Amino acid sequence: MALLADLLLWLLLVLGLGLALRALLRRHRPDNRPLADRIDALLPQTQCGQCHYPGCRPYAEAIAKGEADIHQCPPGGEAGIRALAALLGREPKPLSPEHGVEKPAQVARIRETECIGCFKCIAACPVDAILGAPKFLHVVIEDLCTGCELCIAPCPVDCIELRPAPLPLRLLP
Amino acid sequence: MPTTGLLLVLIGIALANRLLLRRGPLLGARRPLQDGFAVALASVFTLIVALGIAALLGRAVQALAWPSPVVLLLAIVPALLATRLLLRRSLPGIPSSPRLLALLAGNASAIGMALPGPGALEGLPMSLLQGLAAGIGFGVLLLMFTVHDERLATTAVPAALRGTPLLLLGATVLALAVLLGLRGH
Repeated sequence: MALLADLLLWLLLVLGLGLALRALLRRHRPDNRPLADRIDALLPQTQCGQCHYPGCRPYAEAIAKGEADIHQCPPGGEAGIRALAALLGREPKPLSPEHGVEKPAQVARIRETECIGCFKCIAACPVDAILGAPKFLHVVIEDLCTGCELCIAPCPVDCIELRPAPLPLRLLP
Repeated sequence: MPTTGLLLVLIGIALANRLLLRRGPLLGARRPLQDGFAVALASVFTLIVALGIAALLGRAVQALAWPSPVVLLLAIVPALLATRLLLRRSLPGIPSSPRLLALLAGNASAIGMALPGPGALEGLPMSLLQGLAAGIGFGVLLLMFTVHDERLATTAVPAALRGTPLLLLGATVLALAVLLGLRGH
């Protein structure tokens, strides 16, 4: 009788561990998308151009072709470099200082009283996060802004400032 | 002190696992941390299955009076087959490599051998509990080494120390800390 109870306990334990392992492995299914797509999915999509490419997608394609290195993306930071290194089976390396430094997430904000409605920042924004029209007040849509800083330089009256990004609703990736 | 011995064995196994897993993921995860977790879980699964089979086997061959380590080693083989079947069915894309199976067999037998107590021949619930606890300890150690490795990979370290040497140094410090911390001197 004791043996039967022991075996039942063993079977339950094996079943539980087996189901846990199965559920875990289900999430490891291999990714069959093209390499450039998988690299692009790891990039932060700020479209800031700090990697010296026009945007995240061109940079991803350059990495896939072997033309660019993996440590040129400051917004992705250390975590991004680690993810790219793991995907490509290479050794991670520190962020290249010539491309910039890692910063906390930020968004742009236009000081309304100073904006002259010149439309230059709207033309510069790579993600269409600035709303407005010539001779009308412009405003940054916070949810779309990636904090790429590309609108700062074109502004003739210097009315755009960067502030820390609000906490995202979804804290976990 | 038997606990310290078991802990040192677990640190050794976790280190060996990390050194092998550095060369590439074995279970198809995209991040080393998830891969390490999956390997630890698969090892514990193999060990638990083997402990049960060893208990049955021990009863069956009592007349031969084999020592329990031999019974446990014999039980690892069918347990490994069960793990392989499970891996095949839940990960159809990735063939279970011989490297992975060898790693799992080594983990399960090393942890099983290091367990204190009378062994697998009597007291199945007790040995299952011990196996589970040692397995969790092994998993935590493996995750610690993985995180340690990941954190240090992107820092500016002298080229001579980069990678494996740094991991070995970290493991040494960890083992020293565990020993001194548990013994108190």
